[in-house]
Amino acid sequence: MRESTIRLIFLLTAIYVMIAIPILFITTLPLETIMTTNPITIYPHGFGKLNFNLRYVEATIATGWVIHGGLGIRRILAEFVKSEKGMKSLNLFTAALIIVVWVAAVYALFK
Amino acid sequence: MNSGIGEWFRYVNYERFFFTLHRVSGIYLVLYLFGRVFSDALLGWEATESFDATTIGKTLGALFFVFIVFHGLNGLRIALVEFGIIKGWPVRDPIKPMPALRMSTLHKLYIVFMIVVGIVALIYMPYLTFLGQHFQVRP
Repeated sequence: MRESTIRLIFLLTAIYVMIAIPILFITTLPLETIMTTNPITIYPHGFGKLNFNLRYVEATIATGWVIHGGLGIRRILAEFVKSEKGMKSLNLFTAALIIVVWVAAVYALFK
Repeated sequence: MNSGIGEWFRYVNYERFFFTLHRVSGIYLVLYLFGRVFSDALLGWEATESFDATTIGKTLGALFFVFIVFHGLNGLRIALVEFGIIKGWPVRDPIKPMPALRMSTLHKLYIVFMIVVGIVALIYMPYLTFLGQHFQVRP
């Protein structure tokens, strides 16, 4: 995959997460609750308890931030890699990291 | 550029400061979120929630929300510059190799907006995390 494509995925997943989380808050809860409640108690557990179907939305958001976070780690680690072989290993590591964390996130949401 | 972490803290100007803070906040967010995911998956939601209720949990949570606001706003700025919506032209100091941007008015306005929202978040997010209500689902 070209670096520009990876960069585009990196940006699009970030934008998706940034748009989806506020929309989820605004469309699901009254403003008063949002402004007075500890947000860590709302997202993700609160939404999951409020309505099971919201877990599917949370899963799409989790997919977005796992990809963005994984590619972000790749971006930082790439500064220390000095060879093609190293870059290949880094790509494999990134793919493995994204898959493992994504599976764990989805499992945690639906178990 | 293969330059390492030391480069993040060299020739600090506002752009380099945002860059470094973006990296540091990104690393924190990844560690915090990945930690939560594995805590939820392996120990269960109740264990994570009881940790969130402790002082350390609340402090980490408050830091998470402050960082996520900064990371989101600065990330949006980077995306807007990259898509050419707000402009920034690279300029170099003739003496020191300081990377910097000459900004358009819209870019300057966005940075002012970022700083204002950042200050509000710095006060309000820890307040919500420490003193906000615990969310409860009413039957």
